[in-house]
Amino acid sequence: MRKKIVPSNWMLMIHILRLYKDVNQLIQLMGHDGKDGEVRAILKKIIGRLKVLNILGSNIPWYFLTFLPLDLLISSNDRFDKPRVLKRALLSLRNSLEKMIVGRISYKFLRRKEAYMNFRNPVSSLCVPSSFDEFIPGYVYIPGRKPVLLTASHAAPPASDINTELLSRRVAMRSGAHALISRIPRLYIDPNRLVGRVLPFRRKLDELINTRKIRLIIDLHSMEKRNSNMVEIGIWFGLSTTSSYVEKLIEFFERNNISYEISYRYLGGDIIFYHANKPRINAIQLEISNDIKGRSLRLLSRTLISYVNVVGDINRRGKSC
Amino acid sequence: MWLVISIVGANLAEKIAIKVGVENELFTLNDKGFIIPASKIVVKEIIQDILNKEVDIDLLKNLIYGIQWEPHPAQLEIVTQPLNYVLIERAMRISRQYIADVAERKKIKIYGGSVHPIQSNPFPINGTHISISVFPRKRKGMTRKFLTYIHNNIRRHIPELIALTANSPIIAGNPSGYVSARLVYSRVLRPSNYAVIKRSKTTIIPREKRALLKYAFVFTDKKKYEHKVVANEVGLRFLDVTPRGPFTNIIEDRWSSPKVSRVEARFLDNPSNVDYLMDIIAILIGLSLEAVDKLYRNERIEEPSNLAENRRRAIKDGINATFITNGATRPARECVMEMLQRVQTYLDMLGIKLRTSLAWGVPEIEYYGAPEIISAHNGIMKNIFLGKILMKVQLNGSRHLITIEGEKRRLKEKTRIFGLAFPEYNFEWDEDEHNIVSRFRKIRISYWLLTQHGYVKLMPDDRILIATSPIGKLVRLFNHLCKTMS
Repeated sequence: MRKKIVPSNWMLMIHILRLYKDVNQLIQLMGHDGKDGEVRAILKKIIGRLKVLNILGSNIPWYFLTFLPLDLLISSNDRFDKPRVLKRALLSLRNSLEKMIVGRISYKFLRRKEAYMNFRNPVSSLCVPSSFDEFIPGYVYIPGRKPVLLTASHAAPPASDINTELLSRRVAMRSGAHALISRIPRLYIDPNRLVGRVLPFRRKLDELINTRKIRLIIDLHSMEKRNSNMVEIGIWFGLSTTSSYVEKLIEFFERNNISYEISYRYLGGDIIFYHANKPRINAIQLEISNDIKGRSLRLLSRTLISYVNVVGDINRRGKSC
Repeated sequence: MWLVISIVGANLAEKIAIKVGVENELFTLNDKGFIIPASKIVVKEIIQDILNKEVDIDLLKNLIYGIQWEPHPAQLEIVTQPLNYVLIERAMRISRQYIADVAERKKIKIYGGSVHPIQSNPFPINGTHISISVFPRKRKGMTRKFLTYIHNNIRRHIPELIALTANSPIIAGNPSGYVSARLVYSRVLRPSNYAVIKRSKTTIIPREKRALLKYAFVFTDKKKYEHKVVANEVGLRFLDVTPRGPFTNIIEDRWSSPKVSRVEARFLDNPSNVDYLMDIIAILIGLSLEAVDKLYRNERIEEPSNLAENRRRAIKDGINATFITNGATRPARECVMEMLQRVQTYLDMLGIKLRTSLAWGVPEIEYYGAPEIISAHNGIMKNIFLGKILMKVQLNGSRHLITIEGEKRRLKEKTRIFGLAFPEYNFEWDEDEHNIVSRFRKIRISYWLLTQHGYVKLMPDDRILIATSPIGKLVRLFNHLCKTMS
């Protein structure tokens, strides 16, 4: 077995911070005419930094794979000749680097979660069971017209998340949001884990973000009742969304007497962690108590419909929430 | 000495009580052989059985202490009551059968191995902990001397026992280079020291918790002393073999009853079936009786001079290792056979016969063989191990590209495609009589390439043109930008 060389935390941090600074500078310089010389110098600096990172440790490629968007990695270089596509890619690269930095230096919870998210090795963490083609496409897509996407990644039985399919369908139909419902049982491949990134469900999610100008992802899950809360909100310590989206959601919950909590238990899974790296994308995970049904469920769906209506309309008019 | 007769030749079963407890960890798998976090589902089903009175609690409670979750959501643990040799087999068979049946209802499989050959990297890891309690029938539990002798005798045979039981050579899809990868990577199997009885003050007790030395204070008379069995100076219980109970310096056991005094062996890889488990238990019983015999004969159990080195060699090479004994090297197999012969004398007195290949010194991993890994394309696997998972491949035949919507498009021969390569696994396994997956026989690996437009299955004769890591890809991208600017 190849021996892993793990660089010390601070060494990796310094290099990532420098890379972040350079990428940021590059983004700022882009679009300014007559600064080609400066841009070229920064590009060379970035290449140098990446080369240093590459020899820093054998686990670094896998560490980068955890954070970088697949779009950036699997697309041909020619695709980035369009300035708009390039800017988008650079912004998502910057967001990913930001998450690496915050993850390394921030709360111990975050570090623990990050350790859980990390690739150890694609052989064991990015592998699929036999007859993978049978799982393609493995999702149902309900098109919408608003820049909000509802996902139900654990909707397929067995061990499905109760009510999530029903809720996402109902909210999507009545509010005009898009909905993406997984048809692959989580006991085969979990779409909300690292391995899920290669699934058509997650690729479709990426495609919708790029083509349908999605601004907000609401990932629906269910949890076992453990207190009086009907809903727990996961926002990855605030890294997955801007505060205004959450404040608005809380406002709607409070108005309709829906008990909620910003969760430190359900921070968000890989969907929230990974897709929120794209520029201007906000992602919120909602854990809905298993025991709500009937009137409470209808109340929750009405609340979500009004929330999507308000948030979606603001975004359609080109303003941020 | 409170019992003067020598054990050898006496009616052992009448004089000595032998109790064994087993903690056996299991994995939950889906029907394709992948680890899945389904222990909660199995436990829920068991709760439902209990509520519906579909399970004979009276029978189970006499045999099993509990079926419980472990920290990893794919792990379950069976814990038996302290039982004799006959009942422990019954307990294990009944509990394993019951768990397998419950899991089957939910289309979940149970796997009894120590590591998953692909998904353990190195965690999650399973183990089997066997607790042995041997004491004179006149007493309620083990005395300090019994604990010390049995611990030291099992400890000095750790290399032989590892050589005989190690069976976890493959982790993360690759031979780890060790016959027991579990023992290399597990964080709770530190080597224990030679156990001694120490007289110390009761007031201040050193203890280690999460690698930090701390102290526990017991507010007794400051002149009060007690005799403790010490195998680790700071009372750590996560050792390869350790004495347990109130007579030890383990703080967690301080207020337990003398009845629970035992020696716990944790260094054993999961045996694949109950027969192998019973043979390992029998060998440990034999070693414990040998220790008791030595105690009665007033013989000292010597500290072996090369224990750590032999232990390391056993973990690395298993039964094919060479041990260092008295300054000379000896094949591990020879040492194992010698141990088995000595142990057999005591087992004959109890009427126990070894029933598996262990009887003739052949470990399970040698008898059944290690899992065979068949990769459809060695070049791809090699690149993946190096972190170069982004590849440009030239197809050596026409192929379908499956889009994310599930549509198929034909790609011509010699088409060049770029994307992320990921493995697809197909497992073949053996099941025991309880339908528990006992070992993986074959692991077939094929590969897919995730491209910008969809999925392409790779074939053995496809040519890899470029393989690069995510950082390499970024370097290429920025180089491209540099060129296009000029």
